[in-house]
Amino acid sequence: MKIDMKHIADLAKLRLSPGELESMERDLEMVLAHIERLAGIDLEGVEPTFGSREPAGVRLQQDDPKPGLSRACLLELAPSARDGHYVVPARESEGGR
Amino acid sequence: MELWELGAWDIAHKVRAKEVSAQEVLESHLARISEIEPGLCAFLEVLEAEARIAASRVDAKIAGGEDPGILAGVPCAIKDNMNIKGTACTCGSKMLDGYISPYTATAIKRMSREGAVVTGKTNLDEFAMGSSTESSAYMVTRNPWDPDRVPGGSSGGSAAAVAAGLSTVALGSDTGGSIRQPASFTGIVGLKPTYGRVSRYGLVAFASSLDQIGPFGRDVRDVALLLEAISGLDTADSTSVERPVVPWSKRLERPLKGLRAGVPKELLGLSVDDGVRDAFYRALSHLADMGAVIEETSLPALRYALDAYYVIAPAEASSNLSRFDGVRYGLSTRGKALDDMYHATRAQGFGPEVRRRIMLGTFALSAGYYDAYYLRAAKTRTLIRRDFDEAFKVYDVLLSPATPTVAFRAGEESGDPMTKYLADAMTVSANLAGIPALSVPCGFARPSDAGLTGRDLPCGLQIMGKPFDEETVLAIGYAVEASVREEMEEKSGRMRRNLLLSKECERVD
Repeated sequence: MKIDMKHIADLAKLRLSPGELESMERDLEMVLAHIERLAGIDLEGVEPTFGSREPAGVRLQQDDPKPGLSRACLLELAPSARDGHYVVPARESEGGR
Repeated sequence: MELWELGAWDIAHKVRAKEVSAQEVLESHLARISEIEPGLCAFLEVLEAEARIAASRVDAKIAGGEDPGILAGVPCAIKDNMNIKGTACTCGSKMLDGYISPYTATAIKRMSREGAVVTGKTNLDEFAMGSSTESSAYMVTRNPWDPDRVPGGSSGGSAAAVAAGLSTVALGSDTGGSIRQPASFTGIVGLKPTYGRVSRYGLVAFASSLDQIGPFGRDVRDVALLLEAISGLDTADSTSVERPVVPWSKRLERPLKGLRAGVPKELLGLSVDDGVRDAFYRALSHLADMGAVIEETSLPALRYALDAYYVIAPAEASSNLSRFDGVRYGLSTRGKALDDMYHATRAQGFGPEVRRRIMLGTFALSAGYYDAYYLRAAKTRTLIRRDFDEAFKVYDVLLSPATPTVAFRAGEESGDPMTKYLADAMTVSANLAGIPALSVPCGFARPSDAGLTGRDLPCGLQIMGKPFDEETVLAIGYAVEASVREEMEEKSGRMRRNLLLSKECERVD
């Protein structure tokens, strides 16, 4: 199996150099070689388990508004903010800043 | 005896009885930290000023006749992936450079309400991904038993701080063994509670269906006491559950006669070092002498636990860590366009192990591979849970060594990432099943790479219990502890008193 490492890195939004992609591919192949054992298990009719083990599952909260962290408090953490908003570069398709 | 040598149970009683003040206890620990920490590298930050305020509050409460709580004046270190308002939270990563927590984790709030004094934030593998603290972007924590060896991970800083007497107790988080494995490597006690027992609100998520906060201590009673303080329903974490909080620390002594313990042969079939195996069997024979019925049993799906874990945990991590994009907090590497910024920030902020797991998880969730990897792993997880459910119809607990080896040397690289992942072989299944599991010291073993002159290192026994049955797990841990108490106290007391780490660790700012 040949993994398209560039595609996976794009999905993960990680910029990796050709050298990094190559060493990452080696690592992944080694891990996947172990994990291949999963392919041999008979899982016919078995439901997947994704999370909480409580029979009732995840509890939903009442839809009551409660005060959370304020906008000012959150924006203070931002690398760049202006006029109550996060500042980010424009999307490429929109032609730069 | 110095105050830093006391356990949490004793400190809380002495502080409540006004035999000693919380401030005196804290000062003894701060002095110990300044002496030992430069060579140990357990703390990413010591919160000296905040701790002094907290300790004086405890003393003021006592002076005013108020109840100071069950952890009155007990110093507690916190793994640096939990938020404390107004302080940095790095997760051992450059990605959270400059981030200051705007809120405090529920577990920490609860423990502080019970009088615990937070002394600092401890080192960890980056985003809790690792078994040695070597993937921390800041420093490698040393094992106080042998500074050339790792303390385990990912909660290695918390474990080393408690083992070395820099903190009485500590909080860690456990996604695949990150409390139990370092507890085993450093000769202390560590508990991963049942999933949902302790609120995860304020814990930076790694793999949300597996993560659980839990306590470290130098004995089982201290771990039970800290568990009492942090447990319980929290509406801020939808996966936390409403279960009664039991006074576990007062229910440790229980007759073992008739108690049934199973030893899964799938775990012992893994390559376990001879010395670790011997210590494990000695503990089993002690439990049998006390009346426990111990039998070998089989949970066939455990053979696949590590494989399922190394699909599920990276998959969840790849999703959870997508929030680190340079927009809202932490590191931001500006680029010409939005996507450039995302890519550059994440490439610069994440270290190699985190990137590796993000790539693995992204791959397992990607179109064309989801069914073959993530879905198969999630179904295998069902088989693992079923095997545990069946086993617990027969047995009260399941036992295994906590780790296949004692602490390994720092800097060991095999080239195959899976070799390191094998350190989690004993522990991951409890996370996949959501059950409680404790690591308690059961003796000492010679490292296989130590040669004739090498020293023996501590190793732990793992006790896995039924969901929400921490009571039985802790009671058996208490019995195991009793069987080695004299040897442990003598050797660990000597280790702490003679601890002199001459070489300062290298720290990255």
